[in-house]
Amino acid sequence: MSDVRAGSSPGAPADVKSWLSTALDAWFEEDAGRWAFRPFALHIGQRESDLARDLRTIYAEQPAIERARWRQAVRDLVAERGTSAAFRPALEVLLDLATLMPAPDVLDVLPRLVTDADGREANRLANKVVAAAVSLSSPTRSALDCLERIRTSPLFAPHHAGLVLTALCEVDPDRWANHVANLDFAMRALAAKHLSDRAPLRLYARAILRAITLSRVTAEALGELWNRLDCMDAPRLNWFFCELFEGKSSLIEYDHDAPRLWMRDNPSVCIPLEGKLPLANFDLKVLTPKPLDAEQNLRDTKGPADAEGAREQRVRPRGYRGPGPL
Amino acid sequence: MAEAFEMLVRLAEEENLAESGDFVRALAVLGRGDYPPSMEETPGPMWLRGNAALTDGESLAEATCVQPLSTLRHLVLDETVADLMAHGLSLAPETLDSPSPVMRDAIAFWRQQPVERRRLPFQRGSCLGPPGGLLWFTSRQQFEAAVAPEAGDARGQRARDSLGLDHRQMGETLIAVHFPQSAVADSSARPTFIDAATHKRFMAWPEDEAGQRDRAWGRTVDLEAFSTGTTVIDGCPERVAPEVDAEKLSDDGLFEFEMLGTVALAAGSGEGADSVFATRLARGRTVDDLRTSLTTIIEQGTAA
Repeated sequence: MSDVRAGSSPGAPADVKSWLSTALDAWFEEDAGRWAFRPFALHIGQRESDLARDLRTIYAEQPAIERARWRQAVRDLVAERGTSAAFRPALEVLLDLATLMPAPDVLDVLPRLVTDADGREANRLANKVVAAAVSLSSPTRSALDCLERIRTSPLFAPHHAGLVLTALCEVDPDRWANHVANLDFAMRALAAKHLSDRAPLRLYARAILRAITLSRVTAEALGELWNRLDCMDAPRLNWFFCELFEGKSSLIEYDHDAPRLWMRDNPSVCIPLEGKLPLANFDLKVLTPKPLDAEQNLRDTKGPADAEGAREQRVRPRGYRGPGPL
Repeated sequence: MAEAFEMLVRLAEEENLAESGDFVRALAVLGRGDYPPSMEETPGPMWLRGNAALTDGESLAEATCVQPLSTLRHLVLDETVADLMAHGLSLAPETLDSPSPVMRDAIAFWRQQPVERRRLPFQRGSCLGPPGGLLWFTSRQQFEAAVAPEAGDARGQRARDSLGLDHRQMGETLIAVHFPQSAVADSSARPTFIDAATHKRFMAWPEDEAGQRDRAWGRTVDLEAFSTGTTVIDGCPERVAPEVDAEKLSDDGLFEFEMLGTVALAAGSGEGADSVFATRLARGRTVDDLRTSLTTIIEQGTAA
């Protein structure tokens, strides 16, 4: 650790990867504390949970060329030592550091961590990997590959589904229907296992709609999503369809006569629903019945007082209690 | 005090410290007693503790500490982390940008949850505050009075500013952890400059006379008041304690967290702010005045 690069910032280690690797080993295995990180020891506190933040502060004070070496060192260390069980506490620090830098190059090596991990701490590591991947994602091929590989890894859990789906739609908005379909089952599991109401689903739906924008909610995309879902009442039972179109608080409103779509909370964002829906029995009217038709029908049978409540009932299947396992 | 300066000199020789910033950082080593292994005959943690204890009434009240959201990962069970992730909180450390849209909505969601929903189980063996370090806390009552005027995300900004957390930067989301003050009644103390170490907005004594009469509590610097040049910049009361085992913080293994919001402005941290603050602390005294005061203190300590 005394090997210092001449001509760069004072005290900068010549081989950042080797320095960082040795220092992390000394911190976690030899209990060397801050002195493991000489010549930056006084920049390091005592708390493991702050170690990544302290390292990030040191990193931020380096010149640009040195910072590039640091990012490369973090990426290489994750790749080379990340799957070792003994290195796992240090790996968690490196993942936080990569997120804080940020070092998006680490996305290439993240999926391997959850593919190869096992043991009691594997789920905890998966949470860290998902958090880092979501945080580091931007519209790039490597981000898309990383998220897709995480989605299909054995440690992918229902509680990851909302964050990963949102990130996928931000990274690859043109194929949002494909991503929503791929994660339909996981989102149902998330709702069934973790949610007591639909508010978090609304949160994800709003974030996804913001990412894909209304212009991508086309007849073609809606048809593609419907084709991918595997039950007769698919649009009604897919959480995203419901958040977009169902009921009086849906995110999108639909004009049956035009036809056109607009954002409920911003009617100035309005687009025609172009193209032909691919299947005869796929009809947005089922989800968003023309209010006058529905109310007239209800007045005929029950009277006006029940119109709104019964309208809600009409657009939901009998026994529907929000998204969940079928 | 004399021993503190002696150890500072020894540490400077051992580590070849030359820059003033290093000397300030070295205060943390003194405060925590974690000297380099090569140094022999080193003392333990060096607290220059204020000796005023909390009153009985204060011991029965509640305390609050403010932490970054990502700290939750280290406090709660893995199952709770999973539950928080399901509700849109990734708990990744903040990236110093503004939060993603889904995070923003999730933060707002958690801010609106009732208290029973925000009581989370502690992870076994976890502690509040860094192991071997210090937990800084304030009075919950006065903290709530300070942030009460703000709604929504602005509560995060107000919490940062009223507690003088200038190291909390734009894009960081803050939470408050509330706990009974009785858990730290015996172990806590009024903070000193050694406790503060590298913290750039620490005042040993408040500016307000009424505050100066309160010997048990220090006062934070209200960063918003400081940045706008207000006459008095005293913020909330503050004390320090060694880290507290989670088991001591509640009978039922649960603690209450409160989602505050995301820091939007680095108030009180702009260019030249350090110099302005140092001038304000000096209150007209020159460097020579300070040197004379310190020499007197050291000589008195040595004689004693």
